[in-house]
Amino acid sequence: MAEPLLALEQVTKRFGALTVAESIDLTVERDEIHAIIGPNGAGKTTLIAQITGVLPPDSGRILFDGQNITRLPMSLRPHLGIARSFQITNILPDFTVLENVAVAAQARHGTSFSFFRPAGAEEGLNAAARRVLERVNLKDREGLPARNLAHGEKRALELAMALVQDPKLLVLDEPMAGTGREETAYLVDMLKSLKGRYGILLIEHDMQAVFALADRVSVMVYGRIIATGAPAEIRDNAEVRQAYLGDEELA
Amino acid sequence: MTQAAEAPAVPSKPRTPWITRSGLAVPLILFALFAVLPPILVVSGETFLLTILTRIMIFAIAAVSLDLILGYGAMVSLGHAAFIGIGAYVVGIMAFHGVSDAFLQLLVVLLATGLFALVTGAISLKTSGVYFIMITLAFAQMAYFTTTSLAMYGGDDGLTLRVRSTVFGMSFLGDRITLYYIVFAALLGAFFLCRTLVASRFGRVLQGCRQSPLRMRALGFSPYRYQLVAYVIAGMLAGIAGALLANQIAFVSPAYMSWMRSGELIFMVVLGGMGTLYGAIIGAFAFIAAEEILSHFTHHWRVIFGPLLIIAVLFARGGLISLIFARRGSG
Ligand SMILES: Nc1ncnc2c1ncn2[C@@H]1O[C@H](COP(=O)(O)OP(=O)(O)OP(=O)(O)O)[C@@H](O)[C@H]1O
Ligand SMILES: [Mg+2]
Repeated sequence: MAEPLLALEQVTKRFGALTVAESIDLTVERDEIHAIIGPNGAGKTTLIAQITGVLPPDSGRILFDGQNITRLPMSLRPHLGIARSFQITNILPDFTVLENVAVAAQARHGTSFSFFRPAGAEEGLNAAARRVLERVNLKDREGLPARNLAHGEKRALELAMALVQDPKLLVLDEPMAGTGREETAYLVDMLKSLKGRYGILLIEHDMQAVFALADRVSVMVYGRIIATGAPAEIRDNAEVRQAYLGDEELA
Repeated sequence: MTQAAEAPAVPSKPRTPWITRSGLAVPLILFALFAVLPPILVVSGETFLLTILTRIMIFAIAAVSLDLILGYGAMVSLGHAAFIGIGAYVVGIMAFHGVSDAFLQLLVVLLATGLFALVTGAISLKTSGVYFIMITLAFAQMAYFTTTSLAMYGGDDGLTLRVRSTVFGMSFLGDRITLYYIVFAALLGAFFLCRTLVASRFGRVLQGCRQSPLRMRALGFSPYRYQLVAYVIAGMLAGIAGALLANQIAFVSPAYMSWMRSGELIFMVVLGGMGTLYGAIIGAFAFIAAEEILSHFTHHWRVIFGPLLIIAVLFARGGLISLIFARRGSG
């Protein structure tokens, strides 16, 4: 199939006088990591909100897998194959780590209008959850209430909840935010290992991570995408340097 | 099984006995007490306590059902007593028209409370937070004023039950011990039903929506549908409590569904510990026992009771039960 996995066409969104998305055109291919970088308040999270259905765009279209999902309710999008992580960690704190991932698996496997069988005893769900927990290095934490995890572990848990849904598109809003150097390195390695298996839209401030991972990078400033290209092109783009990267040590 | 194969990798934990892990220790002790008390009370001549205990168990059924939506679903309904009232009035009105068969009454109670819950829940659950509290209250007040206007069935004054519910034409609910054990069985049923629901896939989604509705929607769940089903189940269970209450007192009155009754149910749940189910039973016990004792000493018992409740809620975070046992993470 030639069509991109995700395509935004002329997507525009305003909060009053503030334009947070201005005629955005953007695609994510089935096997690429497309990173969006940009200063605080550029509108990156708001763009994700529109892709995942938290907010509707004012105008424009969002196509997923060829289907128009512009106004599709949020809770239906995971069933098409869109999974996400949140910029501000969003897990289920009272559940154990295993339960967090198992409930994510449950969303994609069978009905949840099942009233009498104990969910905790469903080996299918637990096994799927454990497989993913192993990949994100949380295997030995599975019995812990999720609230007790360290910050970096919570980030990894959120990724596990997305992965267990076996999505086509992963939308990750700053997955490395606030994680330590070691954890960042681990997450970068992990995302590298995912490369090619999913389309990934990655928002990240960590430039080293972005340039190590992305196939394409888009730069967003004040609701506009001012440049899209291969990491090397973006690094060398004068406008980008001026608008965003400044004179940082990027050489 | 995978679990068994991977077991050695997990650092060996001290093995906790099944009874502790299952969280059944406290409720089983409670139920054992309820089961053995009647003969003891009869022998010691304290049969009036049977009446109070029956009342406690009836309200415990309603409180357990409220905990299902409040403790597990974060739905703060200030209209739960309406279901008790509807259940009671169904029994009262059917008896008034000469229909006393318990099974038929039960069926109509479940239909009426289920329908009322479905309609009011469908609307209330479109809102959240304070709005949800206010709108559930408003619906309950509507039910309250509707019953006060039912002149044919006593209006404000309420309605004396013509006959207690009968089973296959036989009437034995007038017998205090029989009624006690029927209520006890209903409480057991309500408790274990809710416990099963909470542990199911459905219950897991319900609890997930309490913790983070946004997260659950992002996972592909629509909280509304699950919350509505829970709301209907809870309403029907409270309706059963109402039907039992009508049989105990042989009288139904609009007062059963006043907003104060709804508030008291919330107190019971919070007092005993939300999100445990058995906490609601302890809360009902503590609440009604305190009510009985205080009203024994003074007519102005509410003046003392109000502050006592507030102190209990403030100081017993997570409810009375947490003073005795450390609370386990739910789910
Ligand atoms: N619901 C809202 N109502 C009004 N303004 C909003 C709303 N959400 C976000 N904004 C504003 O829109 C702008 C874009 O916010 P957004 O969170 O998308 O930025 P971002 O690129 O993700 O920034 P960061 O890098 O800090 O996460 C900000 O100025 C923000 O204050
Ligand atoms: Mg953001």
